[in-house]
Amino acid sequence: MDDLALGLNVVLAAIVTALFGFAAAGFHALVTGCLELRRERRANSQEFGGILLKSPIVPGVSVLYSPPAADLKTRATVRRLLDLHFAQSELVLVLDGPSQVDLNRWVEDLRLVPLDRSGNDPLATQKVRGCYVSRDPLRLLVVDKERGGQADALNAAVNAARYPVLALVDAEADFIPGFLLSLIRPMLQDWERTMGVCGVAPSPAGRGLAGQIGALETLRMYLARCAAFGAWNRVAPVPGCCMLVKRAAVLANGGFSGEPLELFLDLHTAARAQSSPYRIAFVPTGVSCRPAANSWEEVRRDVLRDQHMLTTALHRHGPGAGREFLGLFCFRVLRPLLETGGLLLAAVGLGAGLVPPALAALVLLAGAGSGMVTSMAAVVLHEIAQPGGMPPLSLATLFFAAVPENLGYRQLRNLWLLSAFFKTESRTNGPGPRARDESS
Amino acid sequence: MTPNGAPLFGWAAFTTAAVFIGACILFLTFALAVAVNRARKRLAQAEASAEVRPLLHCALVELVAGGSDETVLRSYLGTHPTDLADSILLFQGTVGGSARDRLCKLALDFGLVAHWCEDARSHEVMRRRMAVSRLTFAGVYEPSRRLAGEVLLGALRDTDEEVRLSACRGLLQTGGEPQVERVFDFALGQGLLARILLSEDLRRFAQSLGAGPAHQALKSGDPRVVRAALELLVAWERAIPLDELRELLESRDPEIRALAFRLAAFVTVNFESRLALIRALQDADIRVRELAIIAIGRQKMTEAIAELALCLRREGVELARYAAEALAAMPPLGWRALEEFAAGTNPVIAVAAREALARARKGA
Repeated sequence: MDDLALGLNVVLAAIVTALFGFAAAGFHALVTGCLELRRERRANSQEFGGILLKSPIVPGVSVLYSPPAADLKTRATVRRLLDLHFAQSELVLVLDGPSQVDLNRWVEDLRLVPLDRSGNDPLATQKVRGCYVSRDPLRLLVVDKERGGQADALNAAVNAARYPVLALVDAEADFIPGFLLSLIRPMLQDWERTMGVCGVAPSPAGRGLAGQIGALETLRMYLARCAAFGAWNRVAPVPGCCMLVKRAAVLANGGFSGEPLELFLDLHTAARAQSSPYRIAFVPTGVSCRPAANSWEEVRRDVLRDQHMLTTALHRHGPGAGREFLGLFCFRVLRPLLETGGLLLAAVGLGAGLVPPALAALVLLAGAGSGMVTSMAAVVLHEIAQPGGMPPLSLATLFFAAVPENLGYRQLRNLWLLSAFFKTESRTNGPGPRARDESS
Repeated sequence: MTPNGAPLFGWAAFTTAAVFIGACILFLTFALAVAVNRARKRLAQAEASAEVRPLLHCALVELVAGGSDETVLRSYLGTHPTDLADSILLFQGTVGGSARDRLCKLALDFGLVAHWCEDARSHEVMRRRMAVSRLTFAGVYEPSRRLAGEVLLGALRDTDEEVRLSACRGLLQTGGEPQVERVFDFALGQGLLARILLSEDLRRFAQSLGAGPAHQALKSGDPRVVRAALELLVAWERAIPLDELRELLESRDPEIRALAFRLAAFVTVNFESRLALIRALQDADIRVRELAIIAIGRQKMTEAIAELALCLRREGVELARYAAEALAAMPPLGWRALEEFAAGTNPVIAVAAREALARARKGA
């Protein structure tokens, strides 16, 4: 019995140490992100959108989009993509095995006429059944192909794209019409080295406690996974972001193998393997964001979708894309596992009298207490990096929402993360994007 | 049954961790209080500015319109110098000539220009940027230029790209030939963004630069310099005579070649270049054929009508449309060819020809 107690205490002590280690690493990422945001704010203070809009030497951009359906909301998104502010751009819309009804709807809505498009396609895809252009003055090319999944649809779009830069928009992104003008800037500053650009802003806080906690989630993600990864040149897409990537880089990579996140990890892996100087830049301006979560269900769906995308991509790539991604994988899988396991062991050990109350409390403190510090730090560091983003009262509310976040929600979230990870192993399609609440 | 010493160790560890986390939370709360306080101050400052700006704007409008009363402006000089400077700069793109000179004189008389010159030497990059961009505005006025000229020249060597770009724009305002050539050389050595931004200001000097420095750059033999010079020429979209266009149209560097074909759409093309353009209609690269068709259409090269008609028959829909557009730009011979195609049996070609013809007739 003594041996069992000793073993349990040692395991719990190790878990506590690991959890504090994770907290320290998370805090380091937040501070790095804050410094990067400040550096970025100083580096690019002027807007040159007007000049970029007029200049004939700004490279053209092909926006790639594969709509999941032909419903009203999707068609509205396509209309918004057709209204982007940019000198030379086109929308390549790939219909991945649409039903005849859906195809007819698109033809009617966009006034499409068939186009005889010939040429050698560099990427292999499912058979293209036809191409269409609009009779209206729209810079649009529609590709109708047999069903092959998202990666296949994006590869067909890459084949059809005519410009050297490709733009992608996350399914949940709430973007501004001028996002291309902001995202193209890092490419123009360093055309040779810059392979891709990601741009996103943290979501605004939604209604109620769920909304505040959803905002804390995106704030941490913004500082760590966007800004800090930007400082380490390990930028990869996050939910709600808009992206640019060079067509030549996509072709050199052999096209898309899954979600855009996987493409970016592929690009990191290939560039690191070749030791070639490269950059994937992060643009921390409000070009795009994920809509605010207003209910617990929306918060849960956001967490699950993000976890599914991340674990699928990171599981396939391993540490090749950089140790930062390995760290991220540990954060999203190992930390919840350790914390949940630690709490369970502490509870059982405490009940059986094998674990002293202080050690059990320390396990809780290592998870919840350090989580509170991390979330509170995220609010303060974001305000330091980008001052004036929020009114004082909203700032204080968000700051203190870190308390309830870590006393209940955090433990539940760990279970969501673990369930999403284990489900990812057994299925290919994760939870879809959250339907946008038009009222918010 | 807990191991000996474990409770003591546990309490010690728990207390240490709790104190540390508590201290962190207290520190963060203090930091939040500071941040909130700063946010409040910013809000208050913004509100104060919002109150003052309309008054400053009205006073400046009167001054620009010919008034001489500076009392209101002078009264805010001590308390709201930033708002006053920003209000003056709001007129940057809207006034010119004597009205602009009057604003620059005001900035000079109020000591703002001297202040900006000081700020342009600051260690803070944001302050330098703001100062140099303001000096760009003031540099148009000769007495201000005497004060700011050296500062702008020095700013060309600044470590910050935005400061350098503002300095370039300021120097171009002065319009002196050596300064313009210096900025052109500077643009050739910078990234694409800097060229895009400076091309707008350099366009005014397109003819003089095209006759001298641009020629030298195109003949330099350095592909990077040649590409940069071509990008500037394409950005200007001006009809500049270029003797070396044919060589560029036949360059082995695909980027240089593509830029040369884009340039061929609006520069003056000689006989050799015209032949090169017609030859390019048979090129293996579809992008080159597309650019050649566009250039021939813009140059209205009637000697290429037969080749364009061949393109319309032979090429895919996209290039056929460009060929039809090019033919439509050359009445009456081009129109006659299109009328024949419009009555033809191939529906795709007929539609392309009809559409191009309809657009051309509508525009005529």
